[in-house]
Amino acid sequence: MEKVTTGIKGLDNILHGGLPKSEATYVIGNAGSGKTMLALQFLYAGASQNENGLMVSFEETQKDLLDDYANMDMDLASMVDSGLLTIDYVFFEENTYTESEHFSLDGLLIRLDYLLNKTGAKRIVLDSFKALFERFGGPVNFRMELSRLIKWLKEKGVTTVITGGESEGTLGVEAYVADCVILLDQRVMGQLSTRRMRVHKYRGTSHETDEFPFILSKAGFVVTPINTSNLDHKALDTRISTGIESLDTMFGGKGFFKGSSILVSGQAGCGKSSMAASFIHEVCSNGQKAMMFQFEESRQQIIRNMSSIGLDLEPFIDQGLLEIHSVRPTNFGLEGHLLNMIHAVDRFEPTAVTLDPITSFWNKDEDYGIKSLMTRIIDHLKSKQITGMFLHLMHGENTFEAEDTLISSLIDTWVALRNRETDASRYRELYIVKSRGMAHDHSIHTFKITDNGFAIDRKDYE
Amino acid sequence: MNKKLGAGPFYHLELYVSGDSFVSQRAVESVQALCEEELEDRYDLTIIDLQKEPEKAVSENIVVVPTLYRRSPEPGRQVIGDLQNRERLKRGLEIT
Repeated sequence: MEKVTTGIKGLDNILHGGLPKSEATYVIGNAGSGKTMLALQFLYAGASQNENGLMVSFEETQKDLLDDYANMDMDLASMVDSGLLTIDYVFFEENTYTESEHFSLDGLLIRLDYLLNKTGAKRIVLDSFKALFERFGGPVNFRMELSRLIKWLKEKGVTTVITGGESEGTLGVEAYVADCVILLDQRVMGQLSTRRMRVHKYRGTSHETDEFPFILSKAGFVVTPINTSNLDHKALDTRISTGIESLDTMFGGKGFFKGSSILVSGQAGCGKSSMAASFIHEVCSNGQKAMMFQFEESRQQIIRNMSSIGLDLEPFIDQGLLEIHSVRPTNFGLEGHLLNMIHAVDRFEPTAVTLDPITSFWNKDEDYGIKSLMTRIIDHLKSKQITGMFLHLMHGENTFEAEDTLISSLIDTWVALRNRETDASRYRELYIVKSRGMAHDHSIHTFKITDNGFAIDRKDYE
Repeated sequence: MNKKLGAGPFYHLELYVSGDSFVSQRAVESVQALCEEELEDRYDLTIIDLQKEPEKAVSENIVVVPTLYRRSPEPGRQVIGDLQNRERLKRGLEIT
């Protein structure tokens, strides 16, 4: 089956290539669920390849549509100016009397036929059937008229996207006639507004069947890329220094594997952030780019705290080598933040990324979706061969909870830190829990955080 | 004696149909009969076959056929359906 791009990378992946060419796709969702955005991106992607598109809007005038989407990365107005995109606003006369229910949609068919011939459009969007249905949908036979319209468009050989709302129901005749049905959903869970999408059906081809979170951003519809396969990541045997000489020594004198995923676990205040900053400092000192995501501290806090242990991060920011993003997990639209992170990583293309801490999200979240999304971020970094360091904040003595095996399976190297107390003193300990594919130290070492950073004591403490 | 002559507003009507199908022909006949019998010389009826003038489907915002537009008296008003019921047709056009 031939497929065409939706203009949305993640969605193309979910659809195993894109939408069915010369066939019809039905996108179902409530008001504000992102249907029009998806549809416009589909047309824009076509127009970007010099494929003319026709937007038939039953809800908004050309001006309103262009105004609504004026702040997007995609420049719809210039596509309209160059004739690659045509917007036809179908206005419904308010003052209408229905004499009988015996009418047909032939007026619309003739109209579309005329516009398709005139514009040479290969892609068409009808937005939305909900409006059409609410206007004319009383008669029982109107559903049949809608399916006749879809069949007619398929015969015309144009690739069609039709949007619809929930009032028509998801199992209407029109959904049956369409070759591909995509469901968009916006719901509130635990005060967080989340958007999900799912391919309900895709006739004659494989597709992902899971529900995927997505956001609507300036870049448009952003949906997380698929886990290609957790086992499929190319392992690199290049090494990357941890930034702490004595820690490098524990990894056979060479440090982490480049592109691997490193977990640093420990209770509050035992040095996780310092270890992450040491690593980032090292990466940037070598002229490579790095990105830090801070979920509990502001950018200024982390810069100030790290300079107190001799790690000056600010010059790297000035040089454009380092970006620190402070994200509040309690903010509205948590999933949006997480997806924005992926977006930021793809834009900046860093060598190394730290997430501090990964656990602040799901401790208060009962939804599995967040966890699986975090897993996807880790997976995404791996697939891009970006070295990722993830800080795991532990609240007790116990190490990783059983439920976190999902993350654990993605982790190549795990360093555990802990605070210890005796009658006389407090001290810190460090050991390597695991490190795949390399010889590494198995002892428990004490360490200090000094004005000059991390200092691992090779000798046993008293 | 013509009680209707000069006894009401002038009706400017446009009937949009698709080709010369049975439904189109019946709609045209029904509206023409209504005009002749109820409006006499107080009307102007234009029949537009969209298959011959498809651009009018865009410029006049036609979605369903048959559509009967009342351009005047204002405000404009449209009647949709197969236009076979004289009483409902009159109600739709607000002809008393």
